[in-house]
Amino acid sequence: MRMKKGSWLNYFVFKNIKLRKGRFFIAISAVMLTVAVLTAFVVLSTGIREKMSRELQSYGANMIVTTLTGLPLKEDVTKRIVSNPLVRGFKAHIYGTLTIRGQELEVIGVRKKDFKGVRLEGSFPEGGNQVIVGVKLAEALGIKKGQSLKEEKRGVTFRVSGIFERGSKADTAIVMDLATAREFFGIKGFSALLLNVDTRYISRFTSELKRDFPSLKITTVKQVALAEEKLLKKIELLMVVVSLVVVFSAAITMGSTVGANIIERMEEIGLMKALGARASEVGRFFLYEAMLSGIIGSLLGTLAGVAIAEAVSRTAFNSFVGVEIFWLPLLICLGVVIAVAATLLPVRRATSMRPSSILRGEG
Amino acid sequence: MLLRIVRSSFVNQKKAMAVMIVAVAVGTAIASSLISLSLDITSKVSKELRAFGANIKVEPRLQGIAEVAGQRRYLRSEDLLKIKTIFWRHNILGFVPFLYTIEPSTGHTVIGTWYRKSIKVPGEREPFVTGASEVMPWWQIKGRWPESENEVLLGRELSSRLNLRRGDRVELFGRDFRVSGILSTGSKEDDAFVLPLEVLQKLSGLNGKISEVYVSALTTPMDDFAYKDPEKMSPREYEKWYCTGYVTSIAKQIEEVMRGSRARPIWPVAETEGKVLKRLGLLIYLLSAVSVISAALGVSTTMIMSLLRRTRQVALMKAIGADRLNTVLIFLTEALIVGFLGGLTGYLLSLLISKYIGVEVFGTPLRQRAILFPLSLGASVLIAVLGAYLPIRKALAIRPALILKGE
Repeated sequence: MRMKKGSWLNYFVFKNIKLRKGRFFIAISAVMLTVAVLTAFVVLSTGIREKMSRELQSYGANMIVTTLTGLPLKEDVTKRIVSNPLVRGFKAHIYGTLTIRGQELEVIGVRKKDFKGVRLEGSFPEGGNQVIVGVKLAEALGIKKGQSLKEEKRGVTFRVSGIFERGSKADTAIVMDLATAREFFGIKGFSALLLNVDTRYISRFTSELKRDFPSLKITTVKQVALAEEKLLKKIELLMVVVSLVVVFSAAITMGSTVGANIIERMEEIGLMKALGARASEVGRFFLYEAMLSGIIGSLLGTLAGVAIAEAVSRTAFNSFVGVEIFWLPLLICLGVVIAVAATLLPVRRATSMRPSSILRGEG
Repeated sequence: MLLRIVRSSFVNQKKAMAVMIVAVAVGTAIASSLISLSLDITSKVSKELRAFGANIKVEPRLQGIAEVAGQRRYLRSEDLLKIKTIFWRHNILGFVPFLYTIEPSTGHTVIGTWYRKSIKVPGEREPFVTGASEVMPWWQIKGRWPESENEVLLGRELSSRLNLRRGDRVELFGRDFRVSGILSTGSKEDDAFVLPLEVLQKLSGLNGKISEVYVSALTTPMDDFAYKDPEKMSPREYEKWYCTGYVTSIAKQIEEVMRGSRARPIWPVAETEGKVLKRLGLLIYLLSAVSVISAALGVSTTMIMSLLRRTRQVALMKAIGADRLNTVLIFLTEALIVGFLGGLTGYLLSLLISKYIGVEVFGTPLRQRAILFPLSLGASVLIAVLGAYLPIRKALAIRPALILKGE
């Protein structure tokens, strides 16, 4: 007496799940756990470059653009340069000089939001007649916060709203707000553009720029560009290596959970065979079950993994990480494949054994 | 009796036991090696971050406005060695002195520096190798660093402007030099002649004088306390600040040993370093936490799966008259063995894994901490025992007849 093919299978699979809710639940959790960890690591590994390179921008620009003629860069040129997708960030500067106590002193005009990587005592200049002074210059001249500086050529007086320290050449300069500097020196456009370009494509970007704007002087800041690329590569490698190790071990743990389930059900297999089921039928029975738990577990796992990755990124980088969608179906497939493989290998062995020896407990 | 039963369960159920041990071992291995990684990550990456160059710049203290424009004051060569004698000397990874001069007849800048200099530090057996090759790894020389007193290195931009190549002759300070290589650095050296420091000092008559020193130091990331003004600290706070490896306190210590100097952090480098370390450290901590939790859960699911079968065995034992204590003891001994074997193999595996990660990524193995051995063994035994205890307790509460009937 045989039921119609397939119908008994479905019947058994679902009845089995219903009867052993606990076990099915554990199998799903094991798959979900593995896929979640996998997904979290994949998402973070692919997003890490973008996150870290944003942090590394505060080392300074990796490319400086000025004109060969020394004239300011025009506004429309600047716009075209910074709208290139390879440009991750940019700062604009205006340069000039002020004559104070008979000495020509360098002036940098910069936007408040671009004035980073600096220790500032006091506040960034606001409004027309405020400046901040580099610490070296301030020390040499004995300038204090709150003092006034008289510009001798034009007869303008500036108030010193702060003293800054950067540890670079800028420490002997005076800084004012970009808009003030522009008005004061009568410059349209910018004196220099400081760019953070994607370090992987920096030479391609340079040659494109040279081709489109032959009058530009382009300097790569090797110190930043090389070190940045080296560090980013290293961090990416770290993520890949750690992911590999974690994924490998997660796959083993998941396999062992699923495998333990089968080992524990050897007797069932023996009984099924003793009752006349063919090896292929037993195999299919377990295959369906494994696929079901694999699919449900992997779907839940990818969701959980993305959630974990976002939570981690939010905590570590204060921003969400982009998810490359094409990875998700891949991860789901991987979860199902591991679940099925971990099930079928022991089942295959069990079905090749004689039912009597299984039932006697010689597994 | 107890031992016999336990032994027979290992012999008769090899596969089930093996699966449990493997699960425990892999879980322990991954947890322990990721903990190693997260404990070591900041020190490893902070070394990598030194590729961004020096984080402290030492210059002569300026006095008066005239000195802002031209160089009037110098530091002294003989003070350089003292940088390796400060409280945080072991954190000084390298330093490079620079001397800037103008060639009188042509007006070209001539820079004197060290490229790879081996110096003898008092109290240290190994010589200390320092110079631009260590502190400024982005320097590129086509050709070689000057090896004799009549060789000079030429900056890239200057070489194309003067149309000079490697091997060409050039006159500096009234003496004949041969260009031994072309240097490209992306900063002011590109537009200058570069000579070994001592050679330039002799030529220019600035014996024993240097213009500035760049120092690369391993530092503790700046925190709120570090940003306080040292001059306004209480003596105790000041001592704590002085003895912590902040970039500011190391700079202060350098300033103390170099006469007439002013040492300042290079803030873009110093601050970014702290930020990057914090972020990356946090990332690795979180990832390790995720992996450790998932390993623990993974091991538990395996244990539970394996032990469901035990329910029936427990019932059988109870039916033939084993007392509660005996039954529990049997399974706990089994779990202890599984936990111990798994934990031990796991720990040994983790040694390999953390070595692999360290060597693969950073070129040196991760530091092994002794504390991880008892920790990983303890954790794996605990998980194994817990995973065993819960199903047993459940089994003990049930009437044997029902279980044996399969309900």
